[in-house]
Amino acid sequence: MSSALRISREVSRVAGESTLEVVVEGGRARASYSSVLSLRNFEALTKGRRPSEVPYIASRICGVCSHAHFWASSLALEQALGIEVGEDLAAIRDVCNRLQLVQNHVVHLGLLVLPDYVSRERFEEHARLTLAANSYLLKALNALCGRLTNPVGYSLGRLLTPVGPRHLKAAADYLREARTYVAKLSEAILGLELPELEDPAPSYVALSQAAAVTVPTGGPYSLTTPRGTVELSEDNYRSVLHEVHAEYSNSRKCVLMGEPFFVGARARLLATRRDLPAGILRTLATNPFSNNYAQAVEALAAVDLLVEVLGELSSRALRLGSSSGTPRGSGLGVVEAPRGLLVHYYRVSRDGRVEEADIVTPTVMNTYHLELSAATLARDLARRGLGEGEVARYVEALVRAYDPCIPCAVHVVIRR
Amino acid sequence: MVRVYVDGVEVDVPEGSTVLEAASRAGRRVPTLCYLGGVFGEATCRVCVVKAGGRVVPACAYPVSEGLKVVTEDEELARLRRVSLELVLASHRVSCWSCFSKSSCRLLNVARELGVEGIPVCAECPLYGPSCLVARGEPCLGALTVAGCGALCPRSGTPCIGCRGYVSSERVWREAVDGLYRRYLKSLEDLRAAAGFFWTHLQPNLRRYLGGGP
Amino acid sequence: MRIAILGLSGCDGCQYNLVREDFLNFLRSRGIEVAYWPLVGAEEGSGEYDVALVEGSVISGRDLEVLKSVRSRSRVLVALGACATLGGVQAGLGFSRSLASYVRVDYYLRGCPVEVGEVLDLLDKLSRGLPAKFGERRFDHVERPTRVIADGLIELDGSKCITCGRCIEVCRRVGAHVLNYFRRGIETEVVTPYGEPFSKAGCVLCGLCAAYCPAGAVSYRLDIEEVLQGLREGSLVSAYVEPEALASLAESEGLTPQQVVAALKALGFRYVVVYDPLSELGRVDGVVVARSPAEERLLRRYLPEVRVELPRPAIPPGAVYVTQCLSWKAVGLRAITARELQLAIRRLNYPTLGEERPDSVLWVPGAAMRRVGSLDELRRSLGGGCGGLVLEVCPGGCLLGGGQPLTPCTDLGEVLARRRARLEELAKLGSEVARS
Repeated sequence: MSSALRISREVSRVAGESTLEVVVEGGRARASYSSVLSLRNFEALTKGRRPSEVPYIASRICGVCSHAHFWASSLALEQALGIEVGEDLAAIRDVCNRLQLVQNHVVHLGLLVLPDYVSRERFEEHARLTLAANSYLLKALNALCGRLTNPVGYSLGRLLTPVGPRHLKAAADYLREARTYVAKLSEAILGLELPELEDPAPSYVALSQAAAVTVPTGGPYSLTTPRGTVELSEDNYRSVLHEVHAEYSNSRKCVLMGEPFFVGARARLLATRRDLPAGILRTLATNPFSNNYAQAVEALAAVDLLVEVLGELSSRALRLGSSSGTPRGSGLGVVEAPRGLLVHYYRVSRDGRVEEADIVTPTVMNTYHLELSAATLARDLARRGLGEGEVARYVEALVRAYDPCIPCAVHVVIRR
Repeated sequence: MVRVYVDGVEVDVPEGSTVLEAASRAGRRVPTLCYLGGVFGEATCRVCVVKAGGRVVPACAYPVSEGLKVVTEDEELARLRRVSLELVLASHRVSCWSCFSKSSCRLLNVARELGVEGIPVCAECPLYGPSCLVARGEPCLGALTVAGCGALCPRSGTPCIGCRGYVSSERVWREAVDGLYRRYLKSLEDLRAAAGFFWTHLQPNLRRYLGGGP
Repeated sequence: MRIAILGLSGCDGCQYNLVREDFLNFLRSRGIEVAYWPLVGAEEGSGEYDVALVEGSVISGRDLEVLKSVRSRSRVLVALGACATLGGVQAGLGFSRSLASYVRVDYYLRGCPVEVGEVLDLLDKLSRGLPAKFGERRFDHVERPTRVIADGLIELDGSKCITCGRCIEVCRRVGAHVLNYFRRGIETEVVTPYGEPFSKAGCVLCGLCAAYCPAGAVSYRLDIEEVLQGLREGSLVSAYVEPEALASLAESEGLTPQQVVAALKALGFRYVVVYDPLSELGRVDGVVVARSPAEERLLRRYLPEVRVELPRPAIPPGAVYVTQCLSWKAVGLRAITARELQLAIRRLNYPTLGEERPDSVLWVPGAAMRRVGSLDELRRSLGGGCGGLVLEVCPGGCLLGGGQPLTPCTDLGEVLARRRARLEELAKLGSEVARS
């Protein structure tokens, strides 16, 4: 005999307001993850605007990963306008994006995830490390783009303020200071014992070049999945990444060519880091909780990569301009945001105004996968005889493993 | 030495000291505007008012006396200081975009301390003359936006989009539009577009300064 | 004090920007309890709060319910950020409203994202029980005299004058007596005699009136943009900087002298020389040395019988003289004041400045001259012969000269002490540079 388990929780320690509902009944489980935030409809907000204004609006979709939206929208609009960004400027933008990725991971892991796993004392210890690392990362961001939320000094295809060896060296110095703390935090995360969960749909999607570049200079974009690479362009992205109705819920689910999938740090490592130790790779391949491991590995690797790149960039004269190519009238910007793949599409009219906009965020892409995993987890735990309260805690921890960002979730169904 | 009590804190100060000096020695901060230590303490601005000996007096000029009890902060003093500053601002033509004190404005410092709004971002922006974004033809809303951010965006080359809200004074609007924007911008259309980021709830009577539709 | 931090329909950026060391340390140091902050997992939810910081705008029915609930349970409600104060960028769609559209808001913390400093200031005041009440402006404009007195170098704009009288006092102290009050009541103006331009009114061009005006009403011509243009074009390559100017710039900007040199290089100067023309003058008997053309003018007017020597800076072409004294601009020298440089270097991102040494130091600190600070003091000292005397009339000396950077600090004694310390650091740096 199985008693029904009904969980409905507002999830805390994630960005934004969201609710997870899980029902386990008769040996089967269903989960539904939805945003409590109202629809702010950024796509509609950009209509009729000039392209140069859009990145400043897009970056305000989310205050946590605002850079990713800024760069993704810039990429898409540059394509639409025929602006070809030079290598060095592209490299600096990539640095900014990756810096924010490290910052997001560090704060998420150290302050939002750890309380699920360790005692209060250990949490306080690590909180201090996290905050120290965060201070240096913020300084590095300030040196390159003014601030953490809503970067300044950049516009379509150009810099509005000089960025030179001074700024790059300062950022590198701050990153070096941060490294000790990031390394300690990373070690602590990798030492956590994660709950067991068999991924019901272990299909990852990430930019093929994610190890080297998170803000590619232009489409088409190559995505790596377990089944091989998929090329994403503005012509096919709506059919490659599209939304279907899930039979048990009102919300729209994102699928890649018909299948649920996940994005994020875990996906990026699986796609690009076959050099990792076999044990880690195995966990990454099979357990959704391991996204937190992946964030830890990725953050530390990113710090080292950034120090190297900044060192190289600050040691030579940079050519920070762009050139003009043929305007295409529309464009697709795909970047790796901290939580995974982020897609911005814009169409620009003849008189230079945005006519159409479409934004697909990583949190949306992950929602289906998150629900499937949560249902699987709840079902497994219920089978093992755990009560509602405990199951609820575990599924909440699972939600946090995905590091969802609800302000970004522009398409997730609204719960009134 | 004379013994006085500032907010209950006992301090001894040399004879001939002012209440402001005594307050400083007691570690209590009193906002000032015209006072300049060692040079000027003539109580003309009335911002540094405190309560001493049962009266409201200017701290920079009122002399200490044995046993004097001083209060440096309460609701009434806060209100009186605000009024003094508001009156000062009312007779001060705001033209921060071309002001000598740009980025080092004392009026702005005092206004922020007392919570009086009315001075725009130009007051804290170091771009002067031809380096001002508006002078370069950009639709920077700094001349109409409430100061307090250190002008981070303009100093990074990014025109201000008014995220701190607009200054409520009609006079500032008139000065900024006539004295700055109409001088350098070919049309106000770009400015209207910039105001469309955060100021869509612009009061109708201010719309007339920027013209055009919503 | 119990606080709540939450968001309605926003991007969470304002809250997220509070997740940092300084904010959390501040809360701990004041014993402020964060009763409700779902972002970090503090989840009491339904209690009463002293202060509620609410970000995000009101879009849905749920937003409104939450807002009303929080308002009824909080003593103080603070609108955090542009969404809460203005409705946010999403207001463009028409259905997003600020908090104040529905409930009484006690304080506005503006910005997108907010300034963490302002959040800290507000919580600081509130935690000390201080009435940091936000109010509206009540007076917009008062008609007053708006006379402008200008001569191309110094200008007094009556429409900005707040008639505080600082300029009158400092001009009297210097001994020039150019400015005074005129008329009474609301008609009060600060003017030169008959409203004549400064140059006709006996002004010596010390610049102190401009330096001390708190309202920007007195100003002098700023040539900094021409200098920056010259650097861009390559017609200007070096800065010859007075030690007092460099030390004061360091003090006012919170930088070390080496960082100021780095800042000058970042502006485009190829060579930075610390230069004190006085050091080149040995002790000369029978002559009073004027520190600058301002003192020279004073001496010629009031002590015409005294022989005056004015050491004139010798700078090469392609160089600009950076000085603490405005008067050098009037004698055909390419000069800018430390104040002008302050304006320019503020465009730089200070934490990214390295440290650099001056390329050369033409300065002997503590040269064998005795400084006198006023004409009266000079008259008294002349009894003992005038050899080795240099007149510096700015109160506090050159470190508080009329062309020095503007400072918000009103305790000039403190400022002077800090600048003296920087000057000593610079002297040490100078001897290192001289040795190498």
